[in-house]
Amino acid sequence: MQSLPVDNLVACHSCDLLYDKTALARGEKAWCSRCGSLLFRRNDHAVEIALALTVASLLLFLFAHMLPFLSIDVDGNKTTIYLISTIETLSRLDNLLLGLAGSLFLVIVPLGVLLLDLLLLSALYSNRRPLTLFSRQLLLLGGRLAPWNMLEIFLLGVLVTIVKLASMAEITLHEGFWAFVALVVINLFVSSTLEPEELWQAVTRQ
Amino acid sequence: MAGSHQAVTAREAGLAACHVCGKLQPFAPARHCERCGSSLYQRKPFSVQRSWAFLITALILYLPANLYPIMTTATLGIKDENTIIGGVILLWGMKSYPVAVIVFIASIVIPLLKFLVISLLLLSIWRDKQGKLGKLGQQTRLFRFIEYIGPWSMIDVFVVILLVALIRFGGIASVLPGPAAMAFAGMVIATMLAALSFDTRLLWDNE
Repeated sequence: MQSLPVDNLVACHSCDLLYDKTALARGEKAWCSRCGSLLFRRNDHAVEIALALTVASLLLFLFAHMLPFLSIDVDGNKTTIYLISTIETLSRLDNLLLGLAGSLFLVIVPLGVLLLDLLLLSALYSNRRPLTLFSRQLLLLGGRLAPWNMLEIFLLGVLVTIVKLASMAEITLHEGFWAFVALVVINLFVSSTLEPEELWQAVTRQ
Repeated sequence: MAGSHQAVTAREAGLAACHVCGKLQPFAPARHCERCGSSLYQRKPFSVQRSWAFLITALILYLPANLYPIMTTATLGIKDENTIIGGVILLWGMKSYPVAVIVFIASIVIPLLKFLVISLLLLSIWRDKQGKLGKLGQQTRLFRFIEYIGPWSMIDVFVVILLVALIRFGGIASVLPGPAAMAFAGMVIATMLAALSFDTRLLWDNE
């Protein structure tokens, strides 16, 4: 094991056991034989696919916030709601901390992660040097934000809210809602194509 | 499967995988990662102490989160305060069974499961040389599962935020967040930090 150069090795992130990663071909996955965790995965065209999905996500994020989200109908009084107006309400909330938590989890973190991905992936895709100067910092920040990106959980929250509201009023879903559903689905694909290790390798290669 | 026949850990080989970017490299104390510049460790520093600290914080917050109302609904001047479990019962009464079950699991079951599993694993690291607390492979998988489902507890906080933001029926009804909303959000964040501080490698070091 130790005769192999360090760059050919990978340590299991769950139990620290060393493996020779050169035995793995592109498009393959490997699991640790001791603890069963995923060791390493090599995806073909990961950057191109992730870039395309990130651009799509950003557009859908915009649609979800700018297009009508849902309508609430109470005895004929119809109100159409935009997702972006929730941010405005949150900022006017008496409970400052809750407003802050809401805007962090619902807007700042998801949008931040998308913009970071866009900057980084487009720099990697076009091999532009000026942007890659910051790519380490972008990757570090992205890694810190990732655990707090809760879009899919927010979607479930939206569904529960709709069920609760349905008892008081009639709810009609609009384009913004469906854009949001599509956004969540695409986001799940982005995180499964983007392997941090591949990104780090791509960043340091230049 | 990448081939490895002699079981050697990175620590035994004098190596360390960076905790931030994962780069495997020779280890020396007080060194920085050659790829991302973060401080280099072989194990997360003070992992057990930090996990316990965040877990105890979460346990303390769990009480106000469940005892205080999470939101107040005012309909035509009639105030209605709801705790988390009260909200579940209300949903069940509305015959929205799947949603009631989802909220019950996310808000009540998942936090309790997290407290149990993380304390069990911390005890296992502390003193369980004989493996009485289950196989290490099972413990690792249990932790990955808990780590994945943890954030789903946030559903109830999001529901409160959404209801507060969405309901402006021009005086017919209004929703205000209760003290439990913040306590609950803090509880979920603390359990997530406990999981982030936890190092599964410590389990395997006992082997």
